Amino acid sequence: MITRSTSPQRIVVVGFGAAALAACQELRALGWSGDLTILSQESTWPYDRPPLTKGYLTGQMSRDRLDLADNDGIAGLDADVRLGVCGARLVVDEHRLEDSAGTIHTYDALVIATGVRPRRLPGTDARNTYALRTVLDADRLRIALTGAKNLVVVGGGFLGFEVAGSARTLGVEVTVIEPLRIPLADRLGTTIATRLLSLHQENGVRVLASTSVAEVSQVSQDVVVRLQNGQTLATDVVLEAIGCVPDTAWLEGSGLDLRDGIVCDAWSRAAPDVFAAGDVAKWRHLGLRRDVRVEHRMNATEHGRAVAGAILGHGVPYTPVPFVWTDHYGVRIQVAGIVQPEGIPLLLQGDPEDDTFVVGWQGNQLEAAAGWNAARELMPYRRQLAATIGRPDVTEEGA
Amino acid sequence: MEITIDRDKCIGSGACVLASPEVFDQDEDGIVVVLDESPGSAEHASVLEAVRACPARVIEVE
Repeated sequence: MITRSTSPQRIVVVGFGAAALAACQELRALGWSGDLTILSQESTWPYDRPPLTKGYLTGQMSRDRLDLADNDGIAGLDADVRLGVCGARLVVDEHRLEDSAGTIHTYDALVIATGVRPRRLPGTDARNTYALRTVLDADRLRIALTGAKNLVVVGGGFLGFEVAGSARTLGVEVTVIEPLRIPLADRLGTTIATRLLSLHQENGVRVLASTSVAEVSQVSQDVVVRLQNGQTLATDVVLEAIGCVPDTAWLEGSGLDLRDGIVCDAWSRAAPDVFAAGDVAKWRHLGLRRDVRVEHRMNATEHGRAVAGAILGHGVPYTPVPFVWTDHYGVRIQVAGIVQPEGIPLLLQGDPEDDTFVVGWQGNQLEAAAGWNAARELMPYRRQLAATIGRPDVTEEGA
Repeated sequence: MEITIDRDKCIGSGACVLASPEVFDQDEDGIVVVLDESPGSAEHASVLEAVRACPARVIEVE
């Protein structure tokens, strides 16, 4: 446990997504009454990102339903919230942060929750080529898909296939291009990934697997996608869904370790009085015995809360069970733990051809479990994982 | 303690069920179901943990 001699008087939070919001809410819930400043690069209050690929993209979900806090909730944070402002320079030794508006902030504790930004294909100048991370990105993509005949999705990960499914419901022809032979097999295991691939194919998605994109270019009105295997596709719209990179460019030169995110200890500390939470943070997970960075919605809230506890001195090592869900044509897939793609999955419940089933990966103990439309059925395995991964025998790395 | 939930905003994370299994359950889609809208004092701490653990903040208590 971290112990502090005094409670911090001034806390600055950079970023205002789900992780930042959870950290701020938890600080207040724990009774901390000091000065709180929040810098939000996006000019909007925190909102939920998972619907951006699904209900919000198809127009079934309205903008106000994305909000993670209403006016009262934001007012309850009793914070100085600065919208449209991001971090510009951090001087760790002086506990000093300069923001993009030129204001200098001093802090007793700093929370960095700047998230990630989409990785982009190099050198693409084609029109109608999009990435999806923010609500503005989703608005642009939805407008582009309105009246479009076809969409090429570059990258068959969670985001790419969720958008593919949404585009099909909008009546757009969709092709997904993915280097893996079975898309998402690395994240879901072969059993569920194979079933998911079939589901998309049954819904009319064309999947070009085991190949990748060489170039995207504009040829008169079409966007032309050229694959590594020489094949070319002409399309109206391209979505680049090739993953994200941590948003840490502004921290270059700060002295923080920025190898794939902000590297932190088991208490999410990157440096004295500097903490990181959510997508941007790579922390030492004592239960998994390695450094992890998790870009999932559940982690944002859990991690924000954990950092608030760590700042106030009653934090414990952050050892969540990684948990992700993804939705396709009314089917919800959930994964708890870290899938062992090379391992042989065990069938824990049902049959892989049923409407509901659960598979698991077992080493010395249960490593992960994944459910197909099996939210309730997965729960005992989530508890089991929480009792092992979540409660490590901490002999490694003391405080 | 009285619990109210906004089922429309539930994202099915199951965080409430993990925090307070006597009070919360899920339907087959994972959406929250309240088993006991007026839980006794023995459950209050776990319910308050569920309120804070919910990523969508759909649980309210009075």
